[in-house]
Amino acid sequence: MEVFVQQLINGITLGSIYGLIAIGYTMVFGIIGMVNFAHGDVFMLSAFVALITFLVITTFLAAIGVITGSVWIVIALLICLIVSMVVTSLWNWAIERMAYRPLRGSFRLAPLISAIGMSIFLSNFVQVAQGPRNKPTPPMLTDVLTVMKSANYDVNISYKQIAIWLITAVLLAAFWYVVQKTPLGRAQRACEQDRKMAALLGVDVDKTISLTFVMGAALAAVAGTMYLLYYGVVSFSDGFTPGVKAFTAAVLGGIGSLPGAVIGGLLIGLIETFWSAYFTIDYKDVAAFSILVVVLIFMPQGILGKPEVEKV
Amino acid sequence: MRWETDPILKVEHLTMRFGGLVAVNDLTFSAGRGEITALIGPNGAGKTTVFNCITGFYKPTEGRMALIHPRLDIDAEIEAATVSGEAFVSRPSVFLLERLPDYRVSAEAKVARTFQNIRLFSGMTVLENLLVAQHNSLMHASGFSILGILGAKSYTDFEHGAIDRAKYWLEKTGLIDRADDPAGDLPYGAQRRLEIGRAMCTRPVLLCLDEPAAGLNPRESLELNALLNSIRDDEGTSVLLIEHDMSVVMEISDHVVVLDYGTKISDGAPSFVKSDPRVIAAYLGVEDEDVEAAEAEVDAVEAEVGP
Repeated sequence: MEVFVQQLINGITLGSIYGLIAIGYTMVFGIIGMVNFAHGDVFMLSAFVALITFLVITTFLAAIGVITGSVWIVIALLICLIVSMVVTSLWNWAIERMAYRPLRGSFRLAPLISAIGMSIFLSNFVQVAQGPRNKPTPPMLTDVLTVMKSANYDVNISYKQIAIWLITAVLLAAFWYVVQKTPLGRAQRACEQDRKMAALLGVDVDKTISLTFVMGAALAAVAGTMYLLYYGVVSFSDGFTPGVKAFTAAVLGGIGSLPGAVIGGLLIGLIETFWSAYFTIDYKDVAAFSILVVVLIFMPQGILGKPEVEKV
Repeated sequence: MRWETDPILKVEHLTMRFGGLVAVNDLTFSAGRGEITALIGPNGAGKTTVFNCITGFYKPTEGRMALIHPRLDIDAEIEAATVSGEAFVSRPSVFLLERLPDYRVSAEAKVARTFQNIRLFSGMTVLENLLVAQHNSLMHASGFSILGILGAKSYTDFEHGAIDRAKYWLEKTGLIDRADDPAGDLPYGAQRRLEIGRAMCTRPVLLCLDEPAAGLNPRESLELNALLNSIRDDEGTSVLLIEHDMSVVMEISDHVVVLDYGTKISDGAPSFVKSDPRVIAAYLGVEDEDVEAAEAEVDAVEAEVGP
């Protein structure tokens, strides 16, 4: 029982990170019907931006002689989060502008190939600019709360995990509000259904697509900062596996559906942690992808996806 | 004639070629301000292509399409200049539609359109469909979403205004009870009316309707006539419409332009067009000799009366 609860806590944490990345995939797919393969690398890039910001802030604090207590750590992390969201958004905006928009209206595979190119470019750029080795951060927010105790097993939630849950929940709520209630979100949903018609009603479709990329990148940056906080280390190749898993999560939840992306992310996170805890850690990815295969055989449109309806 | 003295749309020498196919050939016509202009012709005459050129769907191969905005209330404009603190207000009054990208045709030139095959956002509610049509003003008022997220009062007031406008059109189109239903669930006739309501929510000066009466039963068709008359008379919006249903065309339009094989064959008041032998020939189909005979007859009449 204790092991189960502990793994549940770990799985939800990992799943929130996947969910945040998956939203970027699902939104872009929804609006332009393209799988943005560079999204995982945008996530990796955001972790680096957060890392660099963190190092700058701590160096600055040390230079002015402030003792780095936990209050300062929290403030520093919040600044990292915001800087990472802004910088990554600018990156993704530029990527869309340069690599995808010129290819819009071209044949369907062109932007896909361009995205794969962008993905390779980003990981190589970070490898050259930051070096190929793992970049560590000092351990932060390592204190834990013990929620259940038994003779030989304590169930712990670390402050890190609480922070990840809270930030994910708050940002998802804000994001949901933007998509459902603001004119921008309405325009995004309209473009998703019929881009041409939206343009004929005066919606600037190119701008709406750009903003979709910006929003996806901002959420990926949250995931990147959380990833850095959780694992304390990042390397140039860290975009690939979480990227593929988040894409899987988006497909599992039903691509194009926002709640689906979050549910898919949580499921993948939970499957992975439970499999590692009860079976063998080497096969955790096999387990996650096998579940994907099984779900797609029986529900080809994913858990919350809409079935394709023949237009009359 | 209104369309000559005070046009809202002047189409000149419009030509649209698709490869070797000439869909519209050197078409010149005007639509009068505050009038309902009907564009008619047999199937494949190029009517929808003309619409697609006007609304920025296609870039025409050749030609000019000028949209002339109405003169606003002069007193209001003087007041606006005074308030602005500038020495004058400038407001574009002529738009060359062939040079505008599609979203600016709607956002700035204020041309709205509907489609022959209905294109609603079927997954969104009826009300949301009408709010998307007011996207630009809402986006501006929401400070590009920032004020909107913070729930600023200036924005919520503005949003209420937008919802009121949407409700006004729901009332007019008889859809107020269905405001929160997905648009795709409405019956066919209601979807047609909603599409017109949505187009009107963009506050157009020119409304282009592509076969609005297609598939409507006679009662719905009468309601449509009333709605279009009200759009012209109460809203002051000029209407350009493609229609096959001659009862609708003859009943409500002030001006009829007839196309056949991409070329204009007749242009004038409904009573004139109705009796034009070239129109009758195009619609009923006649032998080639008959066409020549009819054309000779028309030329003779024109020579007599003057063009």
